[in-house]
Amino acid sequence: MRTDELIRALAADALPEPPVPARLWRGLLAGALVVAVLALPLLGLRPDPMAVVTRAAVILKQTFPLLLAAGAFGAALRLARPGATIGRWGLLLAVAPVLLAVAVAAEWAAVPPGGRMAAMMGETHRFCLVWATLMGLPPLAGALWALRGGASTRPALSGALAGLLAGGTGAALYAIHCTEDSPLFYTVWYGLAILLVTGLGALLGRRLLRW
Amino acid sequence: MGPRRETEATLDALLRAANRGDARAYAAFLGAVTPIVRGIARSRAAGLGADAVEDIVQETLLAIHRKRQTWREDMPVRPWLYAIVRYKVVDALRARGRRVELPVEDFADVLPAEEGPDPTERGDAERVIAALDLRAQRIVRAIGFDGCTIAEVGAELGMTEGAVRVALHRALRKLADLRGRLVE
Repeated sequence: MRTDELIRALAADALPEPPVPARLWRGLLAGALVVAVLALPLLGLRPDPMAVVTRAAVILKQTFPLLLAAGAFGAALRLARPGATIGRWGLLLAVAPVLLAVAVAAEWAAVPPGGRMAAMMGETHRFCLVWATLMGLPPLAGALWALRGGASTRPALSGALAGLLAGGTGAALYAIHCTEDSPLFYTVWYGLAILLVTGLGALLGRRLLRW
Repeated sequence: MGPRRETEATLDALLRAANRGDARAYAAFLGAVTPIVRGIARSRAAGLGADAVEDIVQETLLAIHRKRQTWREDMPVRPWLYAIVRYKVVDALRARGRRVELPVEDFADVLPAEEGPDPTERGDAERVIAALDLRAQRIVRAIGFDGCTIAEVGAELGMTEGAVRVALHRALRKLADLRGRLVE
């Protein structure tokens, strides 16, 4: 096939490709819905849901994964366009780590030395790590599916951002169940779960987001 | 600078119209972009031979086609276009066993190139088209080789225009996928 013949065939194909932002919303919501319907009822909600809006440490536990997810959402959309960079979304991604550092430092000072380890390990850290990670997987599938419609020239990085978006979403959903409210606990275990999903996203993105 | 700026504005306008469904503007855009793509591919992959260069050009055009909605109308076309070409050229070279690093900036200095003297039947393209189902092959060939319109193809194959459009769309997507896999 000659190149001018290919051009003629391409020009005749006027069906549009769906825009990536709408796809990413759809993929993410579908993944979150799967978690909310299949996993959350199994685990149950925390007995004092009002704490999520009244106590600072709990507010942060609920919102830092969402902050990470928001930054990753914007950054992933930027990177889905060839020639674009993450831009200012990187700043938003830095907000959650800073807030966590402050909260951890405050908690560290408030808890007597003998109690810090216990605060960090909590009573459910294994359960937490497993479930918070698992809850990130459906959103990860949705996000990767959506980004396949984009054209990232850095597939592994885009995959990692999809993982951060999904891991943050999964951790935020898990937080609705979890009653471990020490910043030492959730920084470590939520953070680890989010990192695991991010790493998995990078691995999968390398393969799935090539075009 | 004058002519460059002019092309820039032209490319922007053409792709904007194309993404809103103007087929003629789209054909003009692809026509204008092809020598630029070929110039870059030839300057980076000349050692591979003219056929391989033209294969890379076609892979890039398929990629531009599939990803044309990732261009934002308020951004200039060229950085977007260069990023796609760069990605595809690196990909093609790597697939053919070469490692390359392409600086982005110097693409602006590469001269556009016309198609070589022997553009007969391209190896990759022919193999890939042969992998499509027969109806898809007939549609792609009728429109590409014979210059038929969608309506004419529909009448010949007893399909509605809508069905031809969808079949063509899927065939081109498959072409792009298969070419990506072929060189891996």
